[in-house]
Amino acid sequence: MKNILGRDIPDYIEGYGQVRPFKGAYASIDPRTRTTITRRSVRPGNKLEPGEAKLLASIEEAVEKTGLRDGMTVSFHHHLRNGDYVTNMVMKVIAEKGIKDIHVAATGIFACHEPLVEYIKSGVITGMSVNYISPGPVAKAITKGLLPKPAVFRSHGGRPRAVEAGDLHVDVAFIAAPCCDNYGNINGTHGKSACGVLSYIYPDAQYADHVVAVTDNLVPYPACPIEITQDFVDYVVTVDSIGDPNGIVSGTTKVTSDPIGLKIAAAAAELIDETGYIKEGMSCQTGAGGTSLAVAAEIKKRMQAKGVVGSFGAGGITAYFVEMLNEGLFRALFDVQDFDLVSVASAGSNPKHMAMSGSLYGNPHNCGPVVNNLDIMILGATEIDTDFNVNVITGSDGTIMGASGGHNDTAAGSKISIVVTNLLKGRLCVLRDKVTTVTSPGETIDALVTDRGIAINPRRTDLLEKLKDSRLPIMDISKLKEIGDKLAGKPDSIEFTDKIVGVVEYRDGTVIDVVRQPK
Amino acid sequence: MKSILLINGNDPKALLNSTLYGADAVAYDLHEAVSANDKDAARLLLQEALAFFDFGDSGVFVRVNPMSEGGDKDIAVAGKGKPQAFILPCADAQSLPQADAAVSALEAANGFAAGSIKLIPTVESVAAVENIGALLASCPRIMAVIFNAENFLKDLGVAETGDASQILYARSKVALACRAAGIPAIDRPWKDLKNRDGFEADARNGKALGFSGKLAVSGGQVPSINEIFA
Amino acid sequence: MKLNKTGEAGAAESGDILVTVAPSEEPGIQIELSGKSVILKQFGRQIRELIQKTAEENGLENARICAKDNGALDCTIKARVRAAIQRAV
Repeated sequence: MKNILGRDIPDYIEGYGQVRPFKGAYASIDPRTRTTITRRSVRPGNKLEPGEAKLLASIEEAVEKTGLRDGMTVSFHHHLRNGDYVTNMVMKVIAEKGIKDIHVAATGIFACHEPLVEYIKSGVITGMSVNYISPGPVAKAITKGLLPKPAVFRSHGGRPRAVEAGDLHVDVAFIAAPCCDNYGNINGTHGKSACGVLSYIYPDAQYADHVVAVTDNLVPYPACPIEITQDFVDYVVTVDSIGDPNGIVSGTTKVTSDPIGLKIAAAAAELIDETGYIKEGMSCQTGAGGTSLAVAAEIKKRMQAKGVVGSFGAGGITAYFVEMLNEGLFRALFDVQDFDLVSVASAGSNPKHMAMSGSLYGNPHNCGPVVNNLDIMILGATEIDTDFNVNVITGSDGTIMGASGGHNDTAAGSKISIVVTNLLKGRLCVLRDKVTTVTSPGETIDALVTDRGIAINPRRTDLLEKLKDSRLPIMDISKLKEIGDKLAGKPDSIEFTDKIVGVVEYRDGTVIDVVRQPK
Repeated sequence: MKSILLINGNDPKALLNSTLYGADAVAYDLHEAVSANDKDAARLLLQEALAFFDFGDSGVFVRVNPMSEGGDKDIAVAGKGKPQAFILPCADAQSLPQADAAVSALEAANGFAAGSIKLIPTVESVAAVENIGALLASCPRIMAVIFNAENFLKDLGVAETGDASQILYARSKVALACRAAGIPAIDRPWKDLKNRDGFEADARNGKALGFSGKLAVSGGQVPSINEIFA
Repeated sequence: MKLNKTGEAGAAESGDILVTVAPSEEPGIQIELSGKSVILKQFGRQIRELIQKTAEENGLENARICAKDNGALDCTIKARVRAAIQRAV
């Protein structure tokens, strides 16, 4: 079967199930039924039986208490990023207890999760679903087809949708809790392992059968401010350390000093300005990469020049956006994760700096996620094709090196979504005839701004009209591709086996593409 | 011509990106940027690269080594890629005719129209500054002049103090001579990339003295130069 | 053309290619190409052909050419092969 983007996808995928084909970015908006779950009741404290207390001695005890067994799904979140100890600690206990056939539903996987590869090889882990994955050992293992079931790639909004709908049923959710009390109230902004908001795991706290908080900072009741409340948490386990502070904070949160990155950023900001999006009450989201932040810096200059106050900044928050909030350029921030210490501190202290759940962020099947209110979205791309379809999952050799994150959520919701990138990355041209894997459909991508030219999606006739007298180097996307191809040469096509190692769900749960194992 | 961006002639990545900074012209350097044992490889790289890239509206120059240090080979080999001009360091009454002859030979050997490839002498000696009028009149290929203050002060035998008044006379003389000859004068490069304020002040100073533009040593300097000399 | 020694040109820098040309007793030109798999999978065939063609154009008959690519464009590959041959004569 081919879906409407022409991607070749089976009707049924072994280890995944029946395929609901992608039918368009906005095709699936009918009312949805949410799943029901069964949760245990915790009796008043003074009547607690021995063993009924929430505070447990070890992860092992939590695994026993929650009845974790073969075939179950356990979930983790990635706010500790490349410093996370919790996923590895829990999986080690699960492996040692001889439990097999586990589905790991992690919001994000980093290089630090290398130990999972052994558990994949030994059959402890047989399935995974992720919203984000960094290039590294686990990504390699998935590419090689070591998982018996294909990995499922969801977006930051698609995952909570799947959790709420029961498509992704979590048996036990493990929450890395930088600050926690003995009754399970949690925040992520305080303690030695403070990482900022814990947004992506809120849906799991609400919809998992069992919820275990793992903390290295047990504070007297109540933990304050409370981010995840006690009514969702079954057990609390204390450990020496939940993460390595050096890995928690990202190193990429500075505005680039590369003149080409700055040039791309200036062109993107000019485009946004000329199309009328720099205005009172505007909202904006960028990634945390150097070029994305440079766009934010350029937008800021133009906001100041016009005396404009924005409504909100959103997404993964960096010091740069905190600075914009504090300088009065935005009235508020909606935060799903914090990339640096300044953002962590702000999230824990400034009421205008608000945490939002993954569902509130991007779930298309609720009463309206924040991406719907977003004006300007600055995106990256590993590849983009002449239909504006974007790939952020696989390299052009088919190797898994990323995942959607909020890419397709924000692209779909925002009023103008702009991909900023160098046209050439080494010898590879970002523009392809067909992307290796579709993450975000072209109908949701409005413009491509590169160092060698700008292309506007022809669907956006309104933008083209506004830009008709522009001095920006705007050209047809196929012309831009010619420029890249002339320098890099035409690549030979990559060969793939028939084995499907990954299923890419669009945010609405339909299958937009699959990842096949490269030969 | 406001901005000429100097690019390491033996760095393929720098070559690829050289036209992205918005400079009026790019100058691929075989002189200071390339070590002695890599000159041969750099000449070939420029020969191939100049034929390969599409430079659009950008001027394309090659800065050769002084004629006494292999400049003739630079012209003969890299020149096959047909740059618009060669930048000649240490230009004086002796080296300029040599460069002119080497370019004539290049044109003849490759079927390029005689006189089509220009020269941009770098004035960096006391004698060259003092006799600049005669120098400019001596060769019809000269399309612009670059002033190098650092080497000029060395030749004068004084230490650089950082005070621009030190080079006021030389700068003014070069700017005037070029204006009289009807060609652009390009002011000295500013190598201290961290000192943006000093760089911009220096560019404004050069503009005020009658220079048409400034040599850029980094892509990041180009937008300021274009703005200041606009 | 007769090679007398090993010649090397280029660099292991991004965008460049390090080419070593050495005399060989065996007939023909043997090419050993290494680099990032993402590039070799898509451009490996073309890079080999370009090295072969450049070597032949420069009159090379018997040689071993070792090329370590780091994302070089065609013009760079050609220039580095030519320089390495010059240095091997």
